[in-house]
Amino acid sequence: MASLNFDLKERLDICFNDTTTLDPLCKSISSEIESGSMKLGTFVETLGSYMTDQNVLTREKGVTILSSVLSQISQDYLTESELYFITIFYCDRIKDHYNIIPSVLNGILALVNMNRLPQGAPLSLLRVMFEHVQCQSLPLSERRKIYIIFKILIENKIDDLISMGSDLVYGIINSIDGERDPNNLVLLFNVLPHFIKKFPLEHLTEEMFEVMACYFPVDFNPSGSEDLNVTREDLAKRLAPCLCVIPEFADYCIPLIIDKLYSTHRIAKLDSLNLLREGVQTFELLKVKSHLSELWTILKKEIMSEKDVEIKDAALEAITSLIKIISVDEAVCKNFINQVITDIKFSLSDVQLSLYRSAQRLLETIAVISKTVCVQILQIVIPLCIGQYSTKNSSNDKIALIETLNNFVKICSHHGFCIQDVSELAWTNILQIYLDGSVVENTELKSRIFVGLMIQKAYLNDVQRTVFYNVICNEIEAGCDEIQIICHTAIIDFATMYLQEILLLIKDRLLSKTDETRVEILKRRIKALTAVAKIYELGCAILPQIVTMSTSNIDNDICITALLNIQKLIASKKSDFNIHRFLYNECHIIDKLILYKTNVIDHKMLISNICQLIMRNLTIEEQCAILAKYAVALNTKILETDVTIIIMNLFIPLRKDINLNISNDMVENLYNLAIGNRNLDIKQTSCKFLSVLLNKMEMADLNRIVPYLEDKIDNNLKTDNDIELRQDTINIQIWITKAFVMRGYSKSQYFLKNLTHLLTHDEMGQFVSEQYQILVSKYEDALIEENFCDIKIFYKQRVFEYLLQQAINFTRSSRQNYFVALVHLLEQMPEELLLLHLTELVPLLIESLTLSNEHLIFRTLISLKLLLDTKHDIFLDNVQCVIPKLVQLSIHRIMDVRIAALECLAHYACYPSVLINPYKQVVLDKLGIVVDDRKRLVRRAAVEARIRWFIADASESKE
Amino acid sequence: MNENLENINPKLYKRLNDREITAEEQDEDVADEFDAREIFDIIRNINDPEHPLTLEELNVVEQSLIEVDDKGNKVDVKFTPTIPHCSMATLIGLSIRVQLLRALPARFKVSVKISPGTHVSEEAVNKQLADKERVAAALENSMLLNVINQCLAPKN
Repeated sequence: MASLNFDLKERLDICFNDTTTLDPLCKSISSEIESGSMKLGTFVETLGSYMTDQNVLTREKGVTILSSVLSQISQDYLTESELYFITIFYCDRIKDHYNIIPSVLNGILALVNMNRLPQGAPLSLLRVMFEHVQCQSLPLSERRKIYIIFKILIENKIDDLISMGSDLVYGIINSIDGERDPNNLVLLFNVLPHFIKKFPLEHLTEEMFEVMACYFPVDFNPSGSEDLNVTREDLAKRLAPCLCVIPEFADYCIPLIIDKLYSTHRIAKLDSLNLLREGVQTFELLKVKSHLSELWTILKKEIMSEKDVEIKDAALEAITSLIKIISVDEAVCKNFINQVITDIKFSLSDVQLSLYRSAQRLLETIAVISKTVCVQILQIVIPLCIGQYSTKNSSNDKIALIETLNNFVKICSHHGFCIQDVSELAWTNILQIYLDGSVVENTELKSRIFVGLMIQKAYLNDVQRTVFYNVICNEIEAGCDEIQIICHTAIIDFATMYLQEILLLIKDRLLSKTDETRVEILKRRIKALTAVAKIYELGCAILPQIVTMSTSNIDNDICITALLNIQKLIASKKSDFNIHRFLYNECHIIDKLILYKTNVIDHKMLISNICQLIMRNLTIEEQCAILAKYAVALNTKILETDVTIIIMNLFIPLRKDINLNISNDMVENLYNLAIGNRNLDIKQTSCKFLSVLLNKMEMADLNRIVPYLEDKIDNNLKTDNDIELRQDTINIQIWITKAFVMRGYSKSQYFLKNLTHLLTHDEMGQFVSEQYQILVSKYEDALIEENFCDIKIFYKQRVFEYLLQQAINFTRSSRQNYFVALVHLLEQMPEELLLLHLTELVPLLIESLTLSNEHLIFRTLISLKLLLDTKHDIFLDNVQCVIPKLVQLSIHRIMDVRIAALECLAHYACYPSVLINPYKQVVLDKLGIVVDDRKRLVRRAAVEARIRWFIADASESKE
Repeated sequence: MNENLENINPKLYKRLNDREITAEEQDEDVADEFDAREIFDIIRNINDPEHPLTLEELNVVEQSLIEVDDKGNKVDVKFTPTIPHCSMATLIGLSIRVQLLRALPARFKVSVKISPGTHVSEEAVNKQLADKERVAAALENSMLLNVINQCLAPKN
């Protein structure tokens, strides 16, 4: 033992001279103590000589080692009696020299974490700490330790502390008073609510409140240089609960809120409103009651103002919270709301007043709180609204009033009653007002009234409903276009509650006597019927009839209308059942459409489109069945054009797993259809179909077919005289390239290169440049994911970047072609991509402004206008050539160019004034002439630009 | 500022829809004349000095109170202050004048007046607004110019 003791002494001596060994030593000592190879007593004894040394530094080292060892020992190792003695020791040490305090605090921190801390220990520790440690005169990290000690004791030992009474409260207040570090404050704000809730504050309530209230509203603007992870919002969010944690704080808190609400500081107002919202929930009626009228006066100021939406919203939330609390006492609540109503009634008395909306919104917000409150408000609002509605002549005013009524009707239905249920308001007969209003002239007003009736659908009796249905049907048959959508919505809405009635309405009214009805009316009915067919029960009754109409031969107009509406219905993604499969299985729409013969071109395209849309949504089995039925048509040499177009469109959305067995004959057929055919539609459809096939094809087939196609294209391009043939060939080449680029085929780069090279072609270059954008444009009926095509992300980027890199390879005559292709491409690119390449792109765009192609200049300006918004450096660097060029273009021969140039100039006015000021006078002078342009649209753009240039530096200096 | 407003709860009026673009306007060969609507479009979006509202919404300017003579190079604008003792009348008038000065070709002779009988010191204000030198002098005052530029600042 002696040797061990001696050992320890030696080790301690070493570490006294070399501080780096201190940490490992303490670690090993603590583990030795835990393992039992060293007794705690021995260790303390050995340390004894240091602790009683005359030198402060030595004593400090001794305490440091003890504290450090304690913090390393596991929390449940030491026994209660051992801890008792250690506690006494530390209580003593606090009284020692102030240099030792930090190490003592470390020790105490370790102690309070111990599981078997004797009951009296926390108390004695705190007492000495309060007496001998001046918390606020310690450095930041030491203060933090003290707060952590508080935190641990408050969270774990609060019962042991009760006997300390107000001494504890006083001690804590004293320690935290004046704390300035944000991180420490966050810690304190987290702990204090627990303490205040559990510990009686008695006569120190106000002091406790004040010591926290001095931070309210939190004014904290970190400079950014120091690396703090605390924001103002963090502090504010944590401070608020401290200030309203117990009802007793109300006496100090509410005056504080009122005081800060009068402030002109925006943050002060917002924080106070949030505090009020949270506070009233703990303060409750008794404490709030006496301040009610004062609170309302200030809240009114914020609510009845249009200035700051955020403050207004916060004020509305606060008043809602307030009323919820006081509504436990009906009389108080009623009085308060009466006061509110009296104060804002004037604003409600005329819908034209600018504060009408604010007043309306306030009452709406309050009415949501409870049924009682709602009824009280309704008694004032409804008569005011109805009175004005009957006397006002302007439709705009009536619209605003009906909107108010609608909002309140909606709130009522949330509370589960309607306005007429309120006995005081039974006389208003509000439903009749709505029904009478449903035949007004003004469409906007009428649609609002329809909305109102929909909200009240549960309260309409069957006579009233019949009246309304009649109004809707009349509108469908003869009303204007704007009202149609709302009529459809109304039918769908009523169907949720009165399905049988609506079904009857559809059968007896809208679907009846279709043969005798005038075409005009029938077309309108078809539109309405298909719009509501997305409801399953209605769809079952409607769709078979519509499909019959679409393929009947009575009237072309009817057919087209029916087809158009079917297309619209199946193109929209929102419906509550699978309309596509219903149309295929129950209505046999595909067979009917393919058999249907027509000579109208629009008709054919519509049918093709519908077939494609339906096919997309069918299962593999269903697709296979259709394929088996119609695939033969594609392999025969003599092609009947009408049906071919439909069948190609039908096969575009085939799923990838379905094997089409593509033969060379079939490819040849398609190629021949795409080239040299008279019919433009069939050329286009063949190109698309071929590209979709190539996009989905398996590699083996691809390797067989690609060389064949390449061969064909090469031969066709070499023919000298037939321009149309070569254009068709280029078109098909573009589509093939598109298919490959999209699926990321290994040869796609080679195809892209060939195509881009064609831009230098003497005769065909211009044609290629105009068609180049097909590569990246989206075609809804061809290469898209919905058609199960293979589409790699970033394919647009690849094409764009490739073309951008090729800029140096185009000179002289081909340069213009290059720019045309590039500018067309830009319009299809996502903006983010363009922003990545601005530095290369902008010089090219500026160059293209100097060319003679007027259309190119126009398109370039449109692209520039979009990019100018970025305020990118590249525009600043080129300002000296762009602005003069734009000024020059503002008197261009073509008005669209003039307008676009002026719009670009207007954008430049937002650039830093240091850069644009040298041009200001020139621009203003020149625009002074352009504002007298002969075209009004040019003048408008010029006025906009000139005004912006006038105030260009003014707006900046304000900021 | 809220407390000092003269008229805290003014009446509001509905905004006109944007002017529809006609086929003639898009035709390169037709010359379009200046008309009242075009002048109205220039001044309708001027902000009121007190409220976050435009002069159109407050009915201070109306299309029917604007007269244009394109050939005779004359533009007459009359405006109506929201209340007869509005102290902002001169400032509003000045804003309208400056806006037209900036937006119209120099050939036009512009007059801005209060519509008769709608303001207590109508004559004095009209006289001020008609006095070229006083308008020019007002624009030399950087404080005043700032206030006017704020009224004329485009919304976005």
